[in-house]
Amino acid sequence: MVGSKKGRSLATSLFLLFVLVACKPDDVWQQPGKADAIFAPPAHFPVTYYDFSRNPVTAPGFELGRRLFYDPILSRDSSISCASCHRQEFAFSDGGKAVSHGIGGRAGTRNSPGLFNLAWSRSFMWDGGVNHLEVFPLAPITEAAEMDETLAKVMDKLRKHPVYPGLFEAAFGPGELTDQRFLFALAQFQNMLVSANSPYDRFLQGKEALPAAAMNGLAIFRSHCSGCHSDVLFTDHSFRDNGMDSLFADAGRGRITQLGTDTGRFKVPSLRNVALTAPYMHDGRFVDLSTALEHYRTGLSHSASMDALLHNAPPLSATDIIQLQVFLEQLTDHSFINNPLYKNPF
Amino acid sequence: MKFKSLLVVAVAALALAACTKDETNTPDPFNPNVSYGKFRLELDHAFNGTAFQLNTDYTTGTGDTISISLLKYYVSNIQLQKADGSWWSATPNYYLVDASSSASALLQIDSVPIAEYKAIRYMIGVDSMRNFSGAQTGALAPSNGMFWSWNSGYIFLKLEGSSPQAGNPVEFHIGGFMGENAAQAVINHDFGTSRLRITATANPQTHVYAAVDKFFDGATPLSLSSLSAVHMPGANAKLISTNIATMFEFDHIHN
Ligand code: HEC
Ligand code: HEC
Repeated sequence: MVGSKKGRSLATSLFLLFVLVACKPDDVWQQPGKADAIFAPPAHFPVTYYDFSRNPVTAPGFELGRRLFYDPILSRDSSISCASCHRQEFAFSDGGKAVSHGIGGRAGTRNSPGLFNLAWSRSFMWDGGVNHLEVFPLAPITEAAEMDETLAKVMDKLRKHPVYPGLFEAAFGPGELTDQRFLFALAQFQNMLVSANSPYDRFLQGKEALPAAAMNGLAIFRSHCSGCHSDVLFTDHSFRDNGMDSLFADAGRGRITQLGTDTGRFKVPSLRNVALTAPYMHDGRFVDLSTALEHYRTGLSHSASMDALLHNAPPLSATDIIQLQVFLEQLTDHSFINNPLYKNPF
Repeated sequence: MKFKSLLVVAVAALALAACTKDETNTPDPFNPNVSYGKFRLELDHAFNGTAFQLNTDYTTGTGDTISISLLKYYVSNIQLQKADGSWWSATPNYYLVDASSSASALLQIDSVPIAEYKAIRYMIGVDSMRNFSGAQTGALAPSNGMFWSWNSGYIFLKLEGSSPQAGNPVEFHIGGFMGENAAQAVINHDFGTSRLRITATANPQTHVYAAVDKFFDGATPLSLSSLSAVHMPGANAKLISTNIATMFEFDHIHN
């Protein structure tokens, strides 16, 4: 079977499953649980970090989470949804803004990252300040430069809404519309954002060859970059100083741990779909991918706090950078950005 | 020295709580050999010896004037000590005490094995585990406003108000569960000659006196002109948690 077909057929079968479950009589949802779980981890991925026994993904829970993700009701003046800053066509990053803009165009201080493979993440945000996917939405909802709302008010709006209470009961059974249910639903949608069908994945599975330049790029990547952007998620989930600055406007990880040694360290981002998530780095300072890559050739700060892996790295040539870019473009997952499951339901 | 021994007790209590929890803690209503009763823990708030009122001017031990508009904190990990010295742990339960609601300061503890108890201990705060376990319910629901959104974890105690000595609004949000900045305070009360008698029918009441003034000078005197706001875990939150640890004093039991 050809790889892209497999991807498509995975998407199709998920979709079919989805339709199928959605058509089952109502009483099926009275006891949501593992039996209905529709999360299917890719075979070439490690085990997830998220504990699905706590909150298994079900069709109506996922569907509700998707609706919430696209619904501006979560912001104070109903102008901004999660999807305003996380757009599917850009692998759920915001498509070009250096730092994201929230309510009334207020600018934040950090770049909106792509959202995918979150079930494998141990911490969230560039500084890892959020320790669990379920509690993540509290940050954008309450942040003045994002949605500028309180959770209590969001819950109030949802409870008084003509449609939501029924959707919550369909997803979680009868009972109160608690903030846990709200956060569970959003986690279900986000956990389903799995990107594992790029040309590189199909290459790993022996289904497709990569162009020669990409193969050269892969070799350079493995010798220079994998120490941090490690296979198969393209991040080792650690916090590092990749030589951006010597003085730090944003303390990064240090803001959370209060340790001087963590100042200027940021979470190693996944490089999957990286060709779609410009601009780059926590503050979006590099407008395009070649500029971001050039940083590793000529822009390293060589400050004392820069990670040892980079201090000791052999030099890169201009050709290396071009080949690295060709390789990184093989990490774009078109079936992910076109998956109808993730589209705006409104 | 005092601080160190407090720390040791706290760590020991935590370790104990952690290892006894699963074995002894789950009351089994179907176990015919054990009978259960209940009791209440009442927290009576006071400031400088008189009943505490919100939005009232008080003078702290360091001479600052403070008017408190909001005081909320978590009580959890309640344990009772039997005559033989062994500890019983309540099922994990979290209480959010709010000085604006007297009902919230009356904690109902159920499913307690019938016995006579000679001491109680509990935590002001939320044990580490629940700080990184995702979305919780009840008293721990994030919509209660006691969870930091950008630096995950519970605010164990929130005290807000105003003071002419402070340049800004007084906002103490005390929490933190990691490493040396862990800010849970473990409170231990020996009942002396009194006993808490749990029977099948009664609902005895243990009265604890919560001296809000100690927040400002219990172990380390705070000067509001130099520190009037804490919004994250760290050394300041840790320091204030040692004051919080001195706020609670056993008063009496109504059996
Ligand atoms: C105003 C733009 C904006 C809105 C609205 C927004 N986000 Fe984000 N999102 C960001 C930015 C910027 C970051 C990076 C934040 C940081 O690191 O400090 C981010 C980070 C994230 C992350 C962490 C990803 C990672 O790998 O660390 C998740 C998950 C996320 N957002 C989900 C959501 C959800 C769910 C919503 C809706 C409830 C939402 N976002 C609304 C801009 C936004
Ligand atoms: C020492 C660990 C480390 C090594 C080695 C490393 N990186 Fe990074 N990389 C990071 C960190 C940390 C960031 C985020 C820094 C920030 O935002 O301030 C990052 C960011 C990036 C980004 C921007 C991603 C985005 O979404 O904004 C790209 C592209 C990138 N690295 C490519 C590479 C390439 C190519 C190599 C090898 C030449 C490499 N990295 C080697 C740690 C590393």
